[in-house]
Amino acid sequence: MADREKWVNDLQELISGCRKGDPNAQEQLFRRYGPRMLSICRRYCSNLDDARDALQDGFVKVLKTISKYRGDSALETWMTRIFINTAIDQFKKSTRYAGMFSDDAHHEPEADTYDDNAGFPCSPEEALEALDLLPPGYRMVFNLYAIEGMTHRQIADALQISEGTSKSQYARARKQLQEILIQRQP
Amino acid sequence: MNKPKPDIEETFRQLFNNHELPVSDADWASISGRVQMKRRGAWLWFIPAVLLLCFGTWLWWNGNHTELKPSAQKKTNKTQTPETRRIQTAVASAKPTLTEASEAARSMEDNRREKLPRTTGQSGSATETESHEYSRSGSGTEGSNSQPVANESSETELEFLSLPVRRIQISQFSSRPAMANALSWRSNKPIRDLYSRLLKPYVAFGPVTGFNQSRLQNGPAGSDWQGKTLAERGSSPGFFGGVQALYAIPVGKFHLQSGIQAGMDLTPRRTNWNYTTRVVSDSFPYRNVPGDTLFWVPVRYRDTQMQVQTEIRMRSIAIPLQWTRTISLNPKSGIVLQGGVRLERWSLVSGTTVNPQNDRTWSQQQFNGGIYGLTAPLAKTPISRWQGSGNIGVGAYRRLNDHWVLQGLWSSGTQLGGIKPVQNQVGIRQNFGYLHMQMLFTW
Repeated sequence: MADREKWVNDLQELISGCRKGDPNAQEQLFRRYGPRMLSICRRYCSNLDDARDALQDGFVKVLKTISKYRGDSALETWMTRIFINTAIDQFKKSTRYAGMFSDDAHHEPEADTYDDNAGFPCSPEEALEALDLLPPGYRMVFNLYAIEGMTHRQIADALQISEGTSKSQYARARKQLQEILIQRQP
Repeated sequence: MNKPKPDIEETFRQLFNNHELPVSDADWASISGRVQMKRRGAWLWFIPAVLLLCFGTWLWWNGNHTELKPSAQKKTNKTQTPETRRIQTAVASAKPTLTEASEAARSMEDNRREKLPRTTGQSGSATETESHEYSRSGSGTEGSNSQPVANESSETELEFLSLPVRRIQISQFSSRPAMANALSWRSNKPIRDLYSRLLKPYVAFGPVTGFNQSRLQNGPAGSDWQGKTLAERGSSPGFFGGVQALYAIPVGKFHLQSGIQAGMDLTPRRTNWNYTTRVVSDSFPYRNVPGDTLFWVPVRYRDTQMQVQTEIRMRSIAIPLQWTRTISLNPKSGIVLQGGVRLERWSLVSGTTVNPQNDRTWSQQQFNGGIYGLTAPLAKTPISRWQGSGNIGVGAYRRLNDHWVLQGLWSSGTQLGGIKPVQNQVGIRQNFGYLHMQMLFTW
């Protein structure tokens, strides 16, 4: 319990220091949350270099806007949201963005042919490799729906696509991921 | 029998629930640099804006207090006497000699002399002073009885003749330039705006100061110059200084300018270079147990991660091609609108290693030895590129005399072409804002 209070107090001091522009506090914030945020960025980017770019962009935004953080949610949650938005922004800026969803605007979700079976042995690295094999649009929708827990409506609004497109992209991504992971099963 | 289906959502949620990837010092160096640059550079944008605002205000204020105000002209028109109207009518009828206008002016003066009481003994000097005041402040109203009048000397009569005519020419200047020219000939005080002189070129020269944000683009994979700036999206700001000389010719309502501009960064940019795929060839001896060298084994390293922070300056020579349009606010000053393109050749002129980092733990000595370092190839290999940019500008000018015009212009632009890197080179993405303080000379 005492550790928890100390951790919270430390965090408050950290936030306060960042608001004042203290470089030490900023670096501590980066050391504490950077690895977690890099993991998030990596899921949305196709390689580690792009993920590091997104990490840098996101942290600059965090340090610039931390004065607006009101404490309504956990700092990590707030930061995660910023990094996801940064990833979405980068995705939108990519030159191929316009054509990523064009073919799927009216496609129905495809039927799933596999049996349910909870639990699947896989390491994070293998999962990232499987995600890398997905087209960028699939990966984005899958991340937002399956991992971040956003609804298709929210995804459609964020990516400026139709809800149907989001659903079909997700179904295809899911199916493709399953196939990739099954192929890699020993 | 179907294969067991992975529960994708659950699997991925669990996998990434507390997943972390290691961050490097270079990541923090980059973020820290960008945050500091943002803080340091944000307010600097106001400097040229304030300077331009001050300059424009000064031009406007001086222009309005040395010549007749347009608002005063409206008042003047309301209080015009029949004689003045006759003069204007005569001028409007485009009589080449203006004889009728001169005669009307004389008769008006005669009428005034009859109405006013004679004040002998002080008329000469007082008239000169008042006349000068009028010319400077422009606050007099034509035809008013409070307006001092000239005495009877021939010099004053000539001065008087210039007064009403000069007022008319100002009031008509903006709408009828040909008439304004004719009138200025009559009053022997040419007030033609330099910008309105058709078929008259001018040259402009002066200092250029500015502020630019630049971002070096990645070189092609495998090249020596796969560099990346610390600051993404133009947050590597710096001051720029230089000179430019332009020659302009009128084309319709516009002036087409071209010339040369040269300058360089006044403040260095801290830049993070990131070698990620550089291939390095080397060899090492293969020895037997006694230690004799049997043969040399050639190897090729792929340098996967090597970063170095440097301070660089950029130097550029630009050939602008721009169209300028001027709008007169009063006879002496006005505003300038400009748009155009620039062909620019820039080069990196220095590189001081600030914070070398090397994930492969090569020694500092090796690094600075020029084999893998940034500084050595930067010095040996000139990085120069031709690139194009587009710019638009707004400013103000002030006519100083018949030949010279002082002009201040704020011009902002961005890179349009040549951004894509080529082999062993980097591209540059640059946004700039330049403040040009120029002297324009016409003849």
